[in-house]
Amino acid sequence: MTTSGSIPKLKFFRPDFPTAGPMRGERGADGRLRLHQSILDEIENRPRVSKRLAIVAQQMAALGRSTIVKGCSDPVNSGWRRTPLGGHHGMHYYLWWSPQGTRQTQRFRSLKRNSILLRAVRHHDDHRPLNAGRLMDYFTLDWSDLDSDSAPCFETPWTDVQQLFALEDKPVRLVYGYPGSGKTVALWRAVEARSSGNTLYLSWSRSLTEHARARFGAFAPPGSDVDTRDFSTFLGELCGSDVRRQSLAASREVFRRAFDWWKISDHQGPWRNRMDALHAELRAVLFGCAVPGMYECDDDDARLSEKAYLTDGVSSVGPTAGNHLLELVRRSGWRGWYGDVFPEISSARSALSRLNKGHLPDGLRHFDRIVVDEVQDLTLLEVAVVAQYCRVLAARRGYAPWLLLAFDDGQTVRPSGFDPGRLNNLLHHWLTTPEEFNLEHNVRSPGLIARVVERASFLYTEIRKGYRPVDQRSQLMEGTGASPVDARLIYAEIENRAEARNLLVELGDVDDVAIVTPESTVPDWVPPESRNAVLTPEEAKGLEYSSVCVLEMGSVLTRLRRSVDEQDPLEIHERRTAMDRLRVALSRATENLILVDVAPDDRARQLCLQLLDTPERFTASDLLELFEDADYPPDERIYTRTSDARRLADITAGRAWERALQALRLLGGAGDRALVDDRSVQIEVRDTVLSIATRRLVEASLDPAMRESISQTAETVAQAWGSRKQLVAVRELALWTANRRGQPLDLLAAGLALGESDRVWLDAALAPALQELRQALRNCANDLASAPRFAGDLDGILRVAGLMGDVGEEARRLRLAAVDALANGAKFKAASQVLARLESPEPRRLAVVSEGLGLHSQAAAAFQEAELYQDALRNWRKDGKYEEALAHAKGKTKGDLEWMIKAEKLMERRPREIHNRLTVAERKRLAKATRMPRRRNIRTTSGKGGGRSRQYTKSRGAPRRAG
Amino acid sequence: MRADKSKDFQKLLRTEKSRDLKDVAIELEQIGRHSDAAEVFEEAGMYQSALRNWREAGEFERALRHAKGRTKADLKWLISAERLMHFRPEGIQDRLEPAERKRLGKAMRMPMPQKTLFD
Repeated sequence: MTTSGSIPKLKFFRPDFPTAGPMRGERGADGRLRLHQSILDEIENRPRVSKRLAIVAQQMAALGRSTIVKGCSDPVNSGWRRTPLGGHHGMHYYLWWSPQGTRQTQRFRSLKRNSILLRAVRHHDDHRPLNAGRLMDYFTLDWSDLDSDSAPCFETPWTDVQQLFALEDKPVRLVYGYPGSGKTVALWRAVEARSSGNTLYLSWSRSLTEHARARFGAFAPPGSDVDTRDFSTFLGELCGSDVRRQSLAASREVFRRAFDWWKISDHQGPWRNRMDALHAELRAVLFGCAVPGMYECDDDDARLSEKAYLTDGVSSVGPTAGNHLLELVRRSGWRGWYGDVFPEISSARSALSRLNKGHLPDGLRHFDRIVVDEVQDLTLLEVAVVAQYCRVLAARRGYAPWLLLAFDDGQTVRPSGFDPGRLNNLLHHWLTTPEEFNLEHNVRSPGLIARVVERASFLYTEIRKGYRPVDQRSQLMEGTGASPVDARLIYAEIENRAEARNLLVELGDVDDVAIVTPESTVPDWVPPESRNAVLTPEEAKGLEYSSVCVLEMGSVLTRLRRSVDEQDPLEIHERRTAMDRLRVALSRATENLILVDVAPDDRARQLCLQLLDTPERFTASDLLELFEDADYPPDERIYTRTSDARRLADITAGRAWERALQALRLLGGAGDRALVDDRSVQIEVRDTVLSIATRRLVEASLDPAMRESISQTAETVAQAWGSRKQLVAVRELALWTANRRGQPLDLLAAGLALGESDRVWLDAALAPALQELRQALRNCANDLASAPRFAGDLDGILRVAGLMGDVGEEARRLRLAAVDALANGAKFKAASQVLARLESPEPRRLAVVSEGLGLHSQAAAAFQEAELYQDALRNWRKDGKYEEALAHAKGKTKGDLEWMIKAEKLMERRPREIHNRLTVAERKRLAKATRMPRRRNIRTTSGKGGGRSRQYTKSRGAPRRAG
Repeated sequence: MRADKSKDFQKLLRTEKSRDLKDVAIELEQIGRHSDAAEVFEEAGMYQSALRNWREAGEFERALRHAKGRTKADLKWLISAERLMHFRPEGIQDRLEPAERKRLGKAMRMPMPQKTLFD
């Protein structure tokens, strides 16, 4: 690795933030939750349940629900929701709760909208009838009851390391750990623990970003502005143009097509039949590590130089594969496909280049802390963008912001080439040496599942040390093993593929079961109708399901345990990636982890059984029976589908839309046709359908029939369960997405009318098009038809368009452009209305508009202020103000004005009643002397409509054009 | 015409020497020959009558010699006004803005047979 001597290390960081104190005023989380007193008795001697309850309560305060929601099938208990709280001494507990508006809570008229009653903590078998009791038996939880520092109600939900990380005052900090070890929560805690600073929260995942947004809406400390952005939106802000969102699968597909086009299959060498690996190597290393200042780069710094790639140790694929890769890149004319295959890498390169030139958009200048989650999903180039952003901020302000990062290099399912050593090196050289925190314990997965993931992690020992993720110590919390019934481990052996196909079709309709393949693509034998239901690890990462069926784990384990050529770096690479995928697939389950093997041989079976360590053994019919036994109530089935749809929205839009439609069908219809009359469930379905539908309309290039179908569904849902404003917003979005060259003002105005809390779905949908929207707004400012609307709430409209930072300044810029356009089009009244919205209108524009409106004195004064004296003179004269005009007059004009002033003064000095004393001859002579000849060169012409108007042959009256 | 009048006037003075100048002046005034009357009145030392006749003849400057008080002020102002108008910038009427013309017209409006000085 080469490090440039031109990059000096930063010495100054933002002075320490104050730690948020116990009384920080009202937050969004305040007052939403009401806790029944009986719960405190239930959790008194159950610290792990109490700790889990604290986490669930925080989720509810932020999102209005927990990540897992179950219903009650007994009609008496209908309306109660249940959330698992984990086990204690071999028992499983559930929190019983209900939002406002269900059968259980509708009688409490004083209960505010969005309120949630936490009624009881019960053993999982306890389904006795439960009523909500009296409202006076509940007490309101405010944020301090949910906050770790002062939580008197619950056990603190944070581990010691999470607390240390959050409260540390080192400016650059890294937190890392296993899946479920609480990295994201540690970052959130760190943001919430300090007040009086502006924070930018970044993650590749849009769903995680939305989750964080809701979280900070409820828990961000007062005086602290937390802006959450997905990484593509952040890059878009830096580049000033939207980054095209493309799934990994789509990127690979474009890449394959590009290589087919170039017909260079003869030169593939060791990459033959390894197109995905080639794609990954290009993305992660050749392009993704091209960081000028860290490595030598070529071709406008777009890729690593051959020397850096082959001999400086950046790539680990070895010289043979490396040389073949470079040859393939050369022959394929990489510039032709680079932007199409890797739009995010291309944008990161542009962003870094702009930052290197000191360019920083207004909206990104005010942050004191930068927080990046899931850093392992970022290439080195993308991390360098963040680091350079910190440096540019430092150069502008004299101190750098704090930088907090979270990663798990064992979850690098996205080809990022993530390497903690490289990350450290970059931060060390560009910022400062980071402080590291290792979260060793899995706080999410039940103990049995955590143990399986840990056993899977031992597979890493089979590959060379340099290829393993860091620090593979035990992840089990002390005492976790004392909870043997907290999860079920099942090994299901399917006799043949035909039976497996049937099983998949059946499982496709089962609630809260995810089918995950540990491979990078869905196996060929999966039938078309089930392919959408099978998730790859890339798609499943970050998601949680009660039950997870992992397909054909035996064959994957067999392949991974097979001895391989230790000298073949490509082989080792593939194994490491396969292990990462496998671990992700295993760690998605919260209750039932099921390995489904199709006609396994003895070796495969043995490896699976070892991995699960004496699991229950099932057949296909056992498995179906397990899920058929479950008697899920409609509301739980709906919640399962809406959760699924939201989680999948980023990953497989088609599947997400299917799940949303399933939820809609379960809801029945509006009014009397509704099968579920629970208002909170209806709202959940409405918001989910609107969210997924609008995302698809914005992002996907849909065929007209599909577009029409999605628009219609969204409109129907908004009409049935939403407000008039929501319906308008949906219609406007459909109109704008159908013709993106049209003006977006109606759409943005509809979003503004919705209000911030009711347009979460719209904000999420518009995220990939924010730069486009803002560019369209700039175009509107120059359009005579749209410009008058800039007299409205432009600040609000810009916020809907996702503008960060000084919204007022951008609104001012747009309004000035609108004023210019309107003045040029002689629409002076509209221009004056837009101008009136400016706090301190720029004098020249005020003058032009005033002159256009015939307000000449006002125009003259403004021209004078703008030091445009000839224009001021013209306007003073037009208003007959000789004295003011004289100050700017020269030559004949000056003589005229002086004479008129003298004449007027003379008239003022005339003796009183002189007219009564003059003789006739005097009058006559005076009249003769003072008679002015009539103005020449005047002709009258007929105007439109038969009226008459005067027209001067030498026009001096036309207003000057603005701009 | 004026020269003829002057000749007649000199002749009258020669032939009517014996007559009283006052009577001549009065006669001249009665027949509307105010300038001649004013001169005779001046010769006869009747300055107020001369003033009256100079004014009736519209001769501000000559009237001024005999005027006092308010009349003197009136005459002075009339002379100033005439002078100002005489020296007005050439072609100003073509250069005035409508508002200037209006203001000037309004300022110079006097209750006279002519509504404004510029009409």
